[in-house]
Amino acid sequence: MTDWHDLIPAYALGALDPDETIQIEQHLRVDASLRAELDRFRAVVNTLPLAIEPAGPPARVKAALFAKIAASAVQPEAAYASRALLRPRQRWAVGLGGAFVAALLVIALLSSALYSANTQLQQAKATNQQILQQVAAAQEQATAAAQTIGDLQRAQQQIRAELASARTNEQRLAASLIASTAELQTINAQIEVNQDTLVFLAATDLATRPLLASVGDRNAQGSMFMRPGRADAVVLVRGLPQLDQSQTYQFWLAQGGQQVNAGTLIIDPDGTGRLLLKAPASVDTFTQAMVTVERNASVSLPSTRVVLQGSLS
Amino acid sequence: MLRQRELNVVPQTHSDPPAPPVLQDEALISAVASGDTAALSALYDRYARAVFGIARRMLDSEQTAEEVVQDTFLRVWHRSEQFQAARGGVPQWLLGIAHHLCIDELRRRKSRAVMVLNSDEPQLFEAMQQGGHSVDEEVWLRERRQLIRSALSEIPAEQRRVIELAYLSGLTQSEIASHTGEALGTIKTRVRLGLRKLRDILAERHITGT
Repeated sequence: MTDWHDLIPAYALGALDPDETIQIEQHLRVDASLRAELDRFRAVVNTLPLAIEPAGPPARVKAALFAKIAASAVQPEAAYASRALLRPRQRWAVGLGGAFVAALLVIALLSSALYSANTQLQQAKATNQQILQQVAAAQEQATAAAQTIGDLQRAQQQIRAELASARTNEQRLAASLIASTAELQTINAQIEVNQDTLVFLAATDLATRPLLASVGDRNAQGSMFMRPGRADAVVLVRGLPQLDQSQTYQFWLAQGGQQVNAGTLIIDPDGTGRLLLKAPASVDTFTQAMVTVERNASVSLPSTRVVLQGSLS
Repeated sequence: MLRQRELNVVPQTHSDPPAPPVLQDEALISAVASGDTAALSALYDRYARAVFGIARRMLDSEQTAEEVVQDTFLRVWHRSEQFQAARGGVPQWLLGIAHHLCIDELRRRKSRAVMVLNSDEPQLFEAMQQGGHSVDEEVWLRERRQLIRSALSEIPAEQRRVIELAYLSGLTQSEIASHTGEALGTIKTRVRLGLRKLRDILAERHITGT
């Protein structure tokens, strides 16, 4: 930060550069302490010429001086202004008559003022035209911006609708995929059962036991295929009508007074059905088999609605 | 040779300086303001030697120095009403006019700095020797000159040198730095310290106020 008091000595000496001079003079106008400081240093600087050794000028200098002063008594300002050394640019004006100069000055001032006013008017017109053009351009831009905003809003609504439709389709496809997956699992399971059944039925030690219809179901019949010493067996039936969803065909194995729920028969629309069962013990140990109609597949005792039965002995 | 070894740097025993011829000077100025050419003639006789000395010293030209003498007293003649006693005595005001005229002339010269810097002669404040005096010179002025020279002799030479280049050659601090090859900051410091020291010495000896 500049301490302006530091510049005062050089300013009093006339040694500041022009930019510094401008700055210090601005501060001098508002700072009384700076002005007081300047007065003190000016007093110092004003002593400097007193230190220089004087020298007497030629006598003709004084004579010429007073001759000029005498001439200036007639035209004081003209005589003073004619000095070539000090005021060379003012020499032309000295010989002109005062009235003529005044008239020229008035004319020049009026012309200057008129020219200035006309110039300002033209500038104001040009500025006004520029403002109107700018307003028109701004309005066009605003209209274009409003259209663009409308277009963007419509596009946004369309995108939202497409997005909702895409979500619905996605949900539908997901549900379909789940259903297909479950169906595929069912098919795979059935294929696996069928393969196991075929393997079982291809065995050389396979034994067959007929299953005969009970009274009232003469069209129904079936067979149980078993192998000695094994707990698994295959049951094939036909002539059984499909039941509603509240009932199932259950296959039972019996030994003495004990009945074992050995599985559910799946009946196709053509009345055929099959079961690959896994008994808790070798099927040789059971003496009776039968198919009953039950309310659910998890019952532990057979009902009285026996549709097929046979001896395993 | 225009420059003379005129000034004396020998320190003196200091006592209160003699009272300046204030009343006489101010009375003369008032008379000049009323159009009294005799009063102007008296002022000329009193101070023309000082004006011519400084003009010749600064401009290095007898002819131009003579023009400065004429112009200085013409300004006194036409502007005597502008004199303000509160801002300094008549000799300070009158020599200040002469100094400004010389600076204006120097700044019209493109090679103004060469005059001082190329000179092999000792510079003003280093060339102070006891010189002869006109019998017509005011005693006050002569004694004041000795006091100021003595004060200047107590300033370090490098500080006195930059003050001289600024005051007598009309150079700015940047121009001094450029011509001397020294740092601008150094020049600024020398100007500031030199003038402050001179202020303190002059105030101590009651040559100026504090």
